Amino acid sequence: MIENNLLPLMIELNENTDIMIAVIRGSKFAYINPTLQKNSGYSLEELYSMNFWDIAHPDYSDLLRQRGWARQRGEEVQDSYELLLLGKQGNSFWAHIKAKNISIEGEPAVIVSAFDINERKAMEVDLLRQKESLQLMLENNPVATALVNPEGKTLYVNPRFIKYTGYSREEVSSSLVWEEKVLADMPKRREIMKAWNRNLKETGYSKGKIVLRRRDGERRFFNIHSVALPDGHILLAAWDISEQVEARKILQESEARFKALSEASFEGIIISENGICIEANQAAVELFGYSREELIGLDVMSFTAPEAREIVKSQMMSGSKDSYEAVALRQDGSRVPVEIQGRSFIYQDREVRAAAIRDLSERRRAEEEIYRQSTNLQALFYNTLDAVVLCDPVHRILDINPRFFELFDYTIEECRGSILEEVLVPEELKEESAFMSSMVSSGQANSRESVRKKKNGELLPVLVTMIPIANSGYYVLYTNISERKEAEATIQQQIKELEAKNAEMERFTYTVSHDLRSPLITIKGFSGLLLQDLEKGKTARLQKDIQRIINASGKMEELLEDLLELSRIGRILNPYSNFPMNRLCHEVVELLSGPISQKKAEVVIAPYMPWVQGDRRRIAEVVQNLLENAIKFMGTNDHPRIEIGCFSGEGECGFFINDNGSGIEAKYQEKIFGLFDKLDQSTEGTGIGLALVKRIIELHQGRIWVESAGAGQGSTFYFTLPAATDSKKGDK
Amino acid sequence: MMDESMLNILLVEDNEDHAELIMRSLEEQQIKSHVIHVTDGEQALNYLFGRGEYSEVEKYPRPNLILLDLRLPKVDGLGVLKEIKQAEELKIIPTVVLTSSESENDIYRAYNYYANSFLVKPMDFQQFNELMLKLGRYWLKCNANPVR
Repeated sequence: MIENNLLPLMIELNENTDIMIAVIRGSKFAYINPTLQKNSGYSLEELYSMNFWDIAHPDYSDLLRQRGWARQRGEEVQDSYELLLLGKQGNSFWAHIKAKNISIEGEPAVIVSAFDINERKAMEVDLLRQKESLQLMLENNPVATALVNPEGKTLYVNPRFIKYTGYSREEVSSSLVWEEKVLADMPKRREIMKAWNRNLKETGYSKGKIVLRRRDGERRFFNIHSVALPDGHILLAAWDISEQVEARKILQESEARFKALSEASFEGIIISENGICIEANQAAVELFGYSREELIGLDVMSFTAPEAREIVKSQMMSGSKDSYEAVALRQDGSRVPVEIQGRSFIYQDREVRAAAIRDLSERRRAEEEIYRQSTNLQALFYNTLDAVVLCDPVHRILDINPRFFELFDYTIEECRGSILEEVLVPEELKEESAFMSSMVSSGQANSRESVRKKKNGELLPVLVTMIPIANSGYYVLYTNISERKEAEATIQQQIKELEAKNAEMERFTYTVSHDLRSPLITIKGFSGLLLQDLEKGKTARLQKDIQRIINASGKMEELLEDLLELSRIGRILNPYSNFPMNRLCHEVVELLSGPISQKKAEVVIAPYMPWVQGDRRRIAEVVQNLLENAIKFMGTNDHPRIEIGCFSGEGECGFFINDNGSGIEAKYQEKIFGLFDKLDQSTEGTGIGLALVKRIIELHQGRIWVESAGAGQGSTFYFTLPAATDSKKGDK
Repeated sequence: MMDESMLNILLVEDNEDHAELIMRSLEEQQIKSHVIHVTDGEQALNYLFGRGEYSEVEKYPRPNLILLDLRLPKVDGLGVLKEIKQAEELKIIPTVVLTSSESENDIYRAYNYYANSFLVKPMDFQQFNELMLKLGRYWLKCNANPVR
């Protein structure tokens, strides 16, 4: 029961509350508070005339009607439930209803209070929608996602997760499957997971990479991030990075290859970005003298010589690919000539420039060496005393040196392009020359003494040396050996003369020993006989024998004098002078005028005779000896005649003394010039005369010989002397 | 006719004095000998081959010993020796080289031309005589002589 004095307060409360309040009796409302009336949009009159279930949304009006009647019938009905109401304007709104049985005037009624839960309901729907879209998002997320509860049980995995692993949702939710299968390729997976969880606990966040083995056995690489949610759940997100790993691996390999390649390169390689070195190979390190660490980060201009900086800069700016020459500046300050070839390209999204730098100093040195050698060769070619000709492989003359012209008279214009053999080789030596050419063609240098033909056909003794040039023809050197040949001939001549001298010396000692012994034998022998005769008192032969002894001694004396004279001739010569033979001959004839007139001989001297050069006294002796011989061997001719004349020879003057006397048989003509040789033992003299004459003439480089038709035919002695050195000739 | 126990000597010697010495020595030693003296090589060959002035062979008997000097005018001793030893009818005649110089070269060449002996004229008178005695005795008495 309500106290009567509280009623107005109750009414006041009903009228001013946000809660909708109604009292239902039968099918109609018995009471409706203003809040309900306002929320429904109906007027009170309309509301009181309506059935109570008409304020519910048609979906719920049956529910409301049944529960309302059942409650009034006293049946057990749910007290509190949510219901969608429908306003007059068609606006529906949720309400939480609480109903309670009452009785009015003894009749059952129901008091209903309801509050608007529309906002809450809307929020709930919103939440549901959000949940659905989240679900949708997770389901379709390209990132594999999982939710794990604090106990470690996997609550949810998205389809991507299943797809990635190849395992079913149930399998993937099992930690055993993970440990034994999915992560089987990670040997330290337990430690990693422990660390993972610890990190997650401490920082609320954990990330890393894993190798995941799919159900089909394929290995994939994943990036995994996990976040600890505020309620202790763990959200796991994983995405496949196998492609990136693969790409990275390929990139690393290609980088390694590049590195290996660049290290193997003899060229220095510098990779620069904006003019700063970002990479350098070993060759570059050696070239510039910096360590690799020093090079990287260095402005490329630091190792470019100042004079080359402009060209390097412009080449880098223009991105030119052409190679160009520059000068590198080494760390020690020295300069190295280099050839650079650069190239600009995009590398890992960066514009870089790679430059290959070749050390030219070796090449420069080689070039200088080649230049020096070619200069030397040139100098040699032009200044050597040998004639040099350069021929191509088919024996055509390419070049000759000045000496070649001097030696053979051909100018380069005359012989260039001609076949060498045709120019120089005499017909009879073609075969030898062809042999030499074939040797040089096969790369063998060869040399031999031969003869080559000058332009005028004159033959020249030369040493021919053929020197092959690798794959490009050959040089031929001609050394003039005519002088040497002459010298050799001279030596041969001198050897001959020495041999002759030696033979003469032998003859001389023999002669001396024989001819000096001879008178001694006579002297001793006859002295012995004399003594014998004296002992026996025989005197008949005394005088004759003594005479023999005297003669022998005289002969010995003569011999000794002659020997002395002969030895003098060998050693003592008076100084040479130029003199006219004519006058000399007259003087000698004058000297011998006694014997000449005694033999009634006629002596004729040629009116003109040349001047000669020599030891005048000795030459006079020659003429005297020859004249004396002519007088001595007059024979039986009634009109003895001696003629002195001259004849001309090359560079020498020839003279003769002719007589019509006894003559000399051909077989004795050589013998008469021997030392102490006499044809007739009965004649006066030691036989030294002609030996002496021969000696004197030979000392003057002349020759002497005799001609005679035979015994009784007279004889002519010839001798030659060097011509006078001045122009006085033909003197009377 | 010639005495068989006598030496018919062809003496080839250009030195008159030496020839005289040899002949007197032979005489002194009482060697029975007949000496034909020629003064040069040509004469010697003419004699032996019966040429020129010696063409009347009967007057110029063949010697059974030749004493040959080496240094001779016209044809020297070795030349004469060579011709003798090459001539079929002469080579059997003992030919003794008798010269005044002892040159090894001469000795060699003389024997090379088949000289029968090589003697050097001694300077000493006594020795000269002794040599002549030995020579005469040897060739007259000791040696069986093919030339009769």
